[in-house]
Amino acid sequence: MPLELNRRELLRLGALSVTGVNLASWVAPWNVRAQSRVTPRGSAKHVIFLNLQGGPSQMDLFDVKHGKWAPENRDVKKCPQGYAYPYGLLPKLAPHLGEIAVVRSAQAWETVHSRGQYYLQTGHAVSPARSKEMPSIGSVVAYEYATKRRESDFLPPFVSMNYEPTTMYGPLQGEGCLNADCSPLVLNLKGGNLPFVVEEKDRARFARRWDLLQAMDTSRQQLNEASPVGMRQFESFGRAAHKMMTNPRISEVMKLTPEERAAYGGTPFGDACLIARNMVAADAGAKFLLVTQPGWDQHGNIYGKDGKGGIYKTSQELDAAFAGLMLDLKRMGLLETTLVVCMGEFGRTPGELTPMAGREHYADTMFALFAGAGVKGGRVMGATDSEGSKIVDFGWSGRRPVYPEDVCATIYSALGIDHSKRITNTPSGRDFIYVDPAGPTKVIPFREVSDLFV
Amino acid sequence: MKLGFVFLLALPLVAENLIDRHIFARLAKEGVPAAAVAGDAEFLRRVHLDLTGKLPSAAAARKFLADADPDKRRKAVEELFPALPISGMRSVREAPYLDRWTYFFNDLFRNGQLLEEGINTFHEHIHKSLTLNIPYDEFVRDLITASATSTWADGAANFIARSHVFEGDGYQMNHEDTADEIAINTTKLFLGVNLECISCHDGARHLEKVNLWLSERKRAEMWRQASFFGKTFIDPAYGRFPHFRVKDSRTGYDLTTRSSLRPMRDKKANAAPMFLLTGEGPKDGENWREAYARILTSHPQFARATVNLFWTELMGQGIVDGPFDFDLARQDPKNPPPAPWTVQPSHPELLNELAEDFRKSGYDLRHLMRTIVNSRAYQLSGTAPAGWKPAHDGLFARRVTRRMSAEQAWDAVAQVAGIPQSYKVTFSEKKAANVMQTRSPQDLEKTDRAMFNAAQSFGQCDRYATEASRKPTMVQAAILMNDQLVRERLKFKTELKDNAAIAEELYLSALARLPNEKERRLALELLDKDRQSGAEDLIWVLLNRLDFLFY
Repeated sequence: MPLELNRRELLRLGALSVTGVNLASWVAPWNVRAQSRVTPRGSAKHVIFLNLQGGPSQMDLFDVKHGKWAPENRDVKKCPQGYAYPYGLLPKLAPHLGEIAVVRSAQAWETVHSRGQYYLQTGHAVSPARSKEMPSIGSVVAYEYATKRRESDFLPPFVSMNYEPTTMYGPLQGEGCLNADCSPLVLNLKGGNLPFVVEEKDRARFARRWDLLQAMDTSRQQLNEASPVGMRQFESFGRAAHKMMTNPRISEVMKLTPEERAAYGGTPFGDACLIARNMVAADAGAKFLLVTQPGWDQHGNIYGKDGKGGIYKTSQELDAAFAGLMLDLKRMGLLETTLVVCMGEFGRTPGELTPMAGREHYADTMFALFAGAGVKGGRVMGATDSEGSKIVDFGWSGRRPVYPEDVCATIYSALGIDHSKRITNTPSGRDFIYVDPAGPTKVIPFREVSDLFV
Repeated sequence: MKLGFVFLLALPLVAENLIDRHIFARLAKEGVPAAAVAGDAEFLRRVHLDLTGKLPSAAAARKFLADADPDKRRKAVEELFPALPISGMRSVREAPYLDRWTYFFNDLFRNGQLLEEGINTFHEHIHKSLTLNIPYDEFVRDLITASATSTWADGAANFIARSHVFEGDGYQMNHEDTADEIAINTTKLFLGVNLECISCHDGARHLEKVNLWLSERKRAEMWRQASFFGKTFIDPAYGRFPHFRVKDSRTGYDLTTRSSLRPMRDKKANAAPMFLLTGEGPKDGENWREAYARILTSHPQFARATVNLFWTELMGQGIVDGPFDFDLARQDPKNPPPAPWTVQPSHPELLNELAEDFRKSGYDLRHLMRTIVNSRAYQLSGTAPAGWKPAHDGLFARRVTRRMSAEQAWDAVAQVAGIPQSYKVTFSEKKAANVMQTRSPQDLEKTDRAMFNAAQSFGQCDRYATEASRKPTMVQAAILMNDQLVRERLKFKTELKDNAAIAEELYLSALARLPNEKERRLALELLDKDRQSGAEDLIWVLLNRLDFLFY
């Protein structure tokens, strides 16, 4: 059933897009079609994706295994939900397990960080010929929501926090072939400061300068259809930034109190989770919030030294921030309409530790956590063998592992997006299907992990 | 508007440069109107930013604008190239041209922290080679053939060492993967052809819609290109990877080893070195790397890819757009590819002639840059002429206006706002006096994390995963308007007593031009009310102008 944007939608897209102007005017309207009947769930208004970069150890966190290698202080006990839980590592999160569904039958396609991260961010296999035009999940969400933006929306639809590109992890995936409006707002909370908050004492000066700029910048005044695209985009982004900076509610989104920061752990990851919470609470157009926590690539001294470092450090950061987020989303009544996903790009090798006292990359088993937006928490889906090296029970109606594509389809579905849609006029000429059933090795009917919601 | 029309009529008289002959003949043939020639301010700012990465000083701009010499543009260009060193004389202390192009090559060769202290030797090797204006073919042969007892002592060998591939987490080298990476990098950087796809699989059934020439290449041919480096051994000299030895001590490229990056190789394939473009191999007894360097730099595609790379950097768009996306089956208009393919370069004859001119000049980079920036085509205004259509932009009918790079932008902001700059240089006691002098992004990171974040937001190349980007974003706009880096450091200081002179100075410094009447009046209103805060407001306005950041 073809589904093309009509002219009215396009105009509306222009009028209310992130930047408030018709940035779409210089890109061809994409030819978008839906290929099958998928009924998206539409239970979420927002998605927060906690990206555990590096690949967390499933045997220590949400698929706890035992062995001679296991340190005592994981403090593994049966949680009220009935499974073994590491109270020593994630104490603060424990009260929220009732809202969290644990998938133990998740599986990655890749064991190289950059390829795994690409997969996690796009839901697609790496292809050098297509990587430039491949949009991130957040950009597809931005594209889909472009026609639904409201006049009052002052936040961009896709925000990425704390993802630092390196050779190992690869770049952050952006809007690919979609238009500049769909690009992520990239914030780095580590050591940086956020330029979007104009302090009270500076507001008059900022307003005066902005007015002066409008009056004096002849290059701005002379912009027209023939002006260079980059200049027009920058001017639009400038207005969008100004709209954010002058919105009276921006402080409640971007300004963090010392008490709140402490509650979320006082780390860059905690700060990012706070901002994600604030963006959801503001309900001002931010839809997909990608929050990255680095440090899970624990090849050496995974159990640290003297009970510090390694998994203790990363768990502690995750624990405070994730627990803070869950607590607040519940308290503020936002969890019902916010899907929280938490996972890494792959798992880690089960069993005995390596000679470096660490664990290597592992694709066959990993965990994925889901909460909110109708997800029935307090349970575990899927099971692995005694070591955690292979899946013995898939635990869902797909009767196969839960792949990154399925996670992607679940996100789209929750946001009311038909994941079978395809864009046919991409620069490479290859169709971009939101969730591509072709898979990296064979055709698989990827789909929403609907069992999470029943 | 009118000027462009007049200029078009006057064409035969002015098109003396080999570039202009092709560009304007094509525009005339297609009936595409050309933009007017850029005014002095637009030109001066452009050529300074392109050749040196820096804005012209207010004094330089004032002098240039007032100069009535009809030959002043050519002379201004000449002044930007530092003099070649003379025996017995110290070389010039300050040469922004050298900083800017050293930075360019550092990005191109991904001279980053994986080389540890090699960053500095590699940086200095590039800087010295540019100081001496070493012919580009020799420069490239040096990089390809360099051996070193230590890359910390020997700069050129870092080029080869940078392509090292460790096994797993970095305790052993993967020899064949490393040779593959060197072949891919050298073919990309020096021939403009991207072998990434055929390094995993044959071109057939993959690249038919992407690259005609590569769709007919086989993965086995890539191994033979890599095999030229089969004897080259890169040895992490001690510990994990602090420095490297590079020497030709191996026996050859072994198809039977396991690849940590790519699918298994065909053990039965022929792995003798063979140059992908010509089928040539090493002569008897010739060192394989030297053979590769010789064959590569004497192939016409070497000059073509190089001129296209520098054209892209200076003109904002390639003759083959995407300097590493050459499709070698689509280069010759006399032998066009089958439909629906078209000839790839927008101006194939120009590309060939410019390449030939570059070769004849002795692969002189300064000659190439001079030829480009002295052309009328380079000097066209960015403002569209009457009758402009989007399709005209592929024909160089006007200047391709670009956002400043991260390095250009931060140095320009500091220069105009009077912000003092000094950065730590990693593994060195030296300081960098501006961003363009830094040796890798880590210099900013180690000096000032907020500055590092800001530069990253402006698309700074990290020398690992990301390439330099000039894409605008919302964060960039917000940073210029309200980041503490600008907000708190913007402090106006002057010796000037006269407000009109201050206004002139600020406009010259930011835009290389004098304020017009309206701007002068508005500026004076601000300055007369309160010189300090008025000047700071004015600077803020100038930094946030679109034509400040775009050039």
